[in-house]
Amino acid sequence: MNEGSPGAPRAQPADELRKPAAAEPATASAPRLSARGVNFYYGKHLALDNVSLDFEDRKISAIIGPSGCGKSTLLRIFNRIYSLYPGQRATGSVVLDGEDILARETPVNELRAKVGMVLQTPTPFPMSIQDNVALAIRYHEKLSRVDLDERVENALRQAALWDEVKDVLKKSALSLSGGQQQRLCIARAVAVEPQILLMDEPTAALDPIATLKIEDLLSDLEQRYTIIIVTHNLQQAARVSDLTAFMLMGRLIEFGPTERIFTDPVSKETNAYVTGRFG
Amino acid sequence: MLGLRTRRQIANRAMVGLSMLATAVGLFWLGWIMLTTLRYGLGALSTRLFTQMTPPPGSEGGLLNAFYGSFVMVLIAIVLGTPIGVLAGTFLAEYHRQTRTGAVIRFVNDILLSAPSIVIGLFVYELLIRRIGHFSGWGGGIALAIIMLPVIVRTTDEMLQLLPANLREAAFALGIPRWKVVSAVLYRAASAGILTGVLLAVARISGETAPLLFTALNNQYWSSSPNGPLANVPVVIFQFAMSPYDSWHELAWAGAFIVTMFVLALAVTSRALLAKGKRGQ
Repeated sequence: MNEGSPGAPRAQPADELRKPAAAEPATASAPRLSARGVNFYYGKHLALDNVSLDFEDRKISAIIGPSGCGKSTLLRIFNRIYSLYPGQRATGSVVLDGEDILARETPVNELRAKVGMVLQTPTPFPMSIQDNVALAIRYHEKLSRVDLDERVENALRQAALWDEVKDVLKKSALSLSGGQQQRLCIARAVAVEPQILLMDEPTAALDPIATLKIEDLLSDLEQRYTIIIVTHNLQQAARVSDLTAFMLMGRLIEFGPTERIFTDPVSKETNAYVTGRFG
Repeated sequence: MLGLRTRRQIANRAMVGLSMLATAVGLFWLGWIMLTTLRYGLGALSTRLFTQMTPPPGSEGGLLNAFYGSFVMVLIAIVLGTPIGVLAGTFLAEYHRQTRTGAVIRFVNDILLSAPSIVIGLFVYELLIRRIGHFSGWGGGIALAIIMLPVIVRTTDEMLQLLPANLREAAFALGIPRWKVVSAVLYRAASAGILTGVLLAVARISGETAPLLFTALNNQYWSSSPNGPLANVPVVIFQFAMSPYDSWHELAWAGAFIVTMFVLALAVTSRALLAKGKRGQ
């Protein structure tokens, strides 16, 4: 299964990348999540080709690339949500806390408690705001009423939603606006205290003001979580992320500090994409 | 020679005309049936209908025991059929959505959906009534439950499959197991649709006569227990309509009218529920 050795370089397959880039991310802290030689198949179709990269602890990493490049596919490997669908398959290894999360014996529900996810469109559950947040906590931990309420409040505060909903916690989550619903989904994801937050174009369905709120929120969340965000909004990647990965046709082309990727990319393709010549 | 535009307009009007005619033909019979049942049943439509028992020939009476018996048997059918149907629909939608097993079960369920109800009546007769040796309301309820079952299985399956994939993914992404995702999130999201299925199934069984002829039969007197033969509206209508007595005919018409209105009300309610459920999502 393990195609890459633990000390494999983080620079990626594209040939022109062989020279060590000057400004690769500092490797002082051990990576929180580490993918090695990951391939992904939709049936027989190879959608990700030998992708290896490390995500640093408490940093925001953005994954950019044109439609169909495999960025969402990559994200969906990290909590094994793809395994809901027959015919979708990942090989290689993704190490979190010293364990290969792709290994068959890794309990998937425990993994998902450690790796939260926020989807592109807001997905409030048809229940009260409070129950939306409390649902997963109730399953993973047995808390007293008081502790549970505190955790719900804490999660809603982290998602910058508490002040707007504290008086209507019993109201249906469906009554919230789109932007509020998306922040509720963030609250729901952080409520189980994950280590990693996966975000799949979390603002694609929102208006500019709601988008701004979520982007502001990300820098607060970064203090506590390792965030991996897929976006095809380049400005958003440039604004919010510390590190950026550029993908093209199922391969990782380049990964490095956001500033370098946008101003001085090593690869011609990255350069063409970030300067808007294709995509 | 007509212009292209004129020819198309003529063709269009002809098609619209034919469609409207076809619709009118369909609705005409429905309207006729409703009006006829109302016209002949009107004389018997009184509070007596709900306070008195089915009468012997020549005297006055109502349909109280028949309404009660129908109510009890439909209730038995709902209590037996709903949980089994909803769980089976869940099994198909959540555990065997695209598998061969799922396809086979769906096919068999569709056959059961169109099985003649008299066959189901005979089935319960052989299985239960002959063994216990007498007609029974329980048998009627079980036969009706078997008729309800495929309707509920199918609507539950379809309603769960219609839920957006996002909702399911968002729930699974929280690390909660499948049974919890289904019971806490998906059932709520699909509740209006599933309830609609149950109501439609109740509408379907409310007028069923054949399966009851073999199971509950009928009872001229008041009987509160489903352990023995139980009066019910469809069989009373059948028996009274076949009789030579005018007072019985009137009661049969009134019974038919009330059953028809009841089914109509259920259909309207289920539509309203479904619309409300869609708005809520």
